[in-house]
Amino acid sequence: MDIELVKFMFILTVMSLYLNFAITLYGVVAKVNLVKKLIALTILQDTVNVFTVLIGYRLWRPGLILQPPALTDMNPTPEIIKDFVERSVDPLPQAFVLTAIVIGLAVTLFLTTIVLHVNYHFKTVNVDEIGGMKRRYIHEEAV
Amino acid sequence: MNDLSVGLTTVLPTVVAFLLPLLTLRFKSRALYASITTATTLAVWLLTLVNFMKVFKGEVLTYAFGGWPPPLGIVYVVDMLNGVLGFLAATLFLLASVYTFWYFGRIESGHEWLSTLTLVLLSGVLGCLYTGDLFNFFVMLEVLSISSYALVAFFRRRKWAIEASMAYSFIGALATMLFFFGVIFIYASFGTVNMADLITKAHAIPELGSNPLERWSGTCPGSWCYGNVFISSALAIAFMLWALNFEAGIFPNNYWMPSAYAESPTPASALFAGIVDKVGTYGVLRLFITVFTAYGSTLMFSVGGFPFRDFVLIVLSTLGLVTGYLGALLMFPQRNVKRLLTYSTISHIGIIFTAFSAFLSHVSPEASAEALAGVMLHMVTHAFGEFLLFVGLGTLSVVVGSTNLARMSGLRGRYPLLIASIILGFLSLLGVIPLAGFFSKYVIFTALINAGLPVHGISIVLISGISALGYFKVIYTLMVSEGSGVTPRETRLYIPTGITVLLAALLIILGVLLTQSSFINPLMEHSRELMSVNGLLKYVDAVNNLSTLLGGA
Repeated sequence: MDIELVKFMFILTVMSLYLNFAITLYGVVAKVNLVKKLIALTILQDTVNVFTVLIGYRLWRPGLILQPPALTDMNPTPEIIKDFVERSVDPLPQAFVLTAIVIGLAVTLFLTTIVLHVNYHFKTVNVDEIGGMKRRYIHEEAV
Repeated sequence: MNDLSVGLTTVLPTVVAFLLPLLTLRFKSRALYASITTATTLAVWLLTLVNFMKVFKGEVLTYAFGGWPPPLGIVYVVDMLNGVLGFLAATLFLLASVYTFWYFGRIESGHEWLSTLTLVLLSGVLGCLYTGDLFNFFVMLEVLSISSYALVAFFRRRKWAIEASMAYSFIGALATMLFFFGVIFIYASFGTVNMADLITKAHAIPELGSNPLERWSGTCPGSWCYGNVFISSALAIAFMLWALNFEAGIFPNNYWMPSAYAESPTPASALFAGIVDKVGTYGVLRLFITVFTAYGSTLMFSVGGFPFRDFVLIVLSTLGLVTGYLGALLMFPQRNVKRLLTYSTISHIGIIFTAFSAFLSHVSPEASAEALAGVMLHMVTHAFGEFLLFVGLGTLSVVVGSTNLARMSGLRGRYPLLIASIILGFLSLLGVIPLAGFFSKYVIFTALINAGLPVHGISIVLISGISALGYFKVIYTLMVSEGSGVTPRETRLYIPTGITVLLAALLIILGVLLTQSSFINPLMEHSRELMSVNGLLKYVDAVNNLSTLLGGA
């Protein structure tokens, strides 16, 4: 394997995640259908989560043996631990992602319920129509 | 060192909140839920009081969850800034839970859920305030946000409550996700999310010259960390500030506030205006005063000969000015009292953000410290005033069965004490001399003048002047207008009147105390320390001592 190729693929992954992020951000803000907004938001959450996992990635470099890093020694010396840490991915971002996924589940559940209630009350999930109704309501309240 | 009084504050309400819904299987009594909420918030209030007493003596309290030595685990750090706000939050939550004894009699159902959500909100607010870990800040911000969304949608049979919650929650979920994205940038470039560790790392960049802060948990060797720390600090700040501004309700992000505050149940809207919007403000303060300071932090890289941190602060304070004027101008035409009070909240948060211009790097530390003292004072006085008004006018709107201001006229003979304390609350927000609201605005004003920012200083006076129109409209309706012919349903309002009178008395007492130099000098001393390098070192040392105590490196 070539180090240049690995670096190129790494940059490509990061860039495609940024692109995904931008598209979903546009989707959440600009789409008028609440269900489409919700879908865009879940994709945005997943993009951020994948990006977080990517943060823990150690860039491959020539001379690094490609095998799953595992501590086989029951009483490791500091050198073995150092060598292990050099090769293994960072576990902390994965812990972040687990937490963020659970939180994302709660948020998504809440948003789904709210969309259901919105549909029940307004008979539509189009935010432009709801906004028009709201303007009339505010106008009536103020006059 | 490992102070349990810090750690218990968030754990206790969460545990009780999750046990409360189980009680519904056996008990239906409203008073039971109100009692449990009050007992829990009272316990939390006592804990925060202990914390506040300790930090006022100059200590920095720390608590490491699970006994992991920082920077490995989650650590809570309480210094003067969040000690004051934590105590304020617990006080308001205690008053709100006492208020539910009265309020639960006026709603048909959902008492147990209002109690549960209030306790979860308490946990989220205190977690955001006390945490010394950016990822935990994100988690607690989500706890706070989700309970707020649910509280806004509490009256789920009212369609505008659902609409308000929808407008809040969709963009709120986006904002908190972006906060997480910002935290990830910080972790990727600094290798830590612990604030004390981040302080030492953000200040230990050789290009910025020598500084008194030393590296603590080592550096990122070779391929371990990515990219340019300056750009990633700037990106992280950009993402995180949007989420915090959304929570605080700063200009482009304040569209959700009026509906959300107007449609939520009265104790919840009082808490939102009192403390929840302060959490976003606190986050911005913490980022700019403790983490990315003017003392050679990574955010001080220059863009065209101008430090980037100053650029961000100028943008923030300009947005604060716009928010202040906007809130004050939009307050007058409102006829819904809760909506009017929300615009008042927006304008006051704008005033607080305007004061951030005094944290620019070229301003003298003395003026910055004065501005910080002013911001802290204004958070307290505004929280008391706005809480009083939301409770008072919310009670009146329940009594007359409408939030329309015109229907609240002619009640002065019936509830003299309640109306009198509401008027004191308005006068305090306006900044009338013997009340506490005047002194907090005055401290911010003098700090901005001393910092050489007369436009910002005079704007605070102008914003107060414009908002006087809205305030006097309500005072006129309550005091002068003839009755609208509405017969109130109730004659006795012991609990709401007690709370509003207590808060009005607090505003007067605080106002009198603030004229005493023996009260204002320790406060100035504390804010001077918070703004100085010594304060940063104290913050880092407290966490470092805890780390050694627990057997960390």
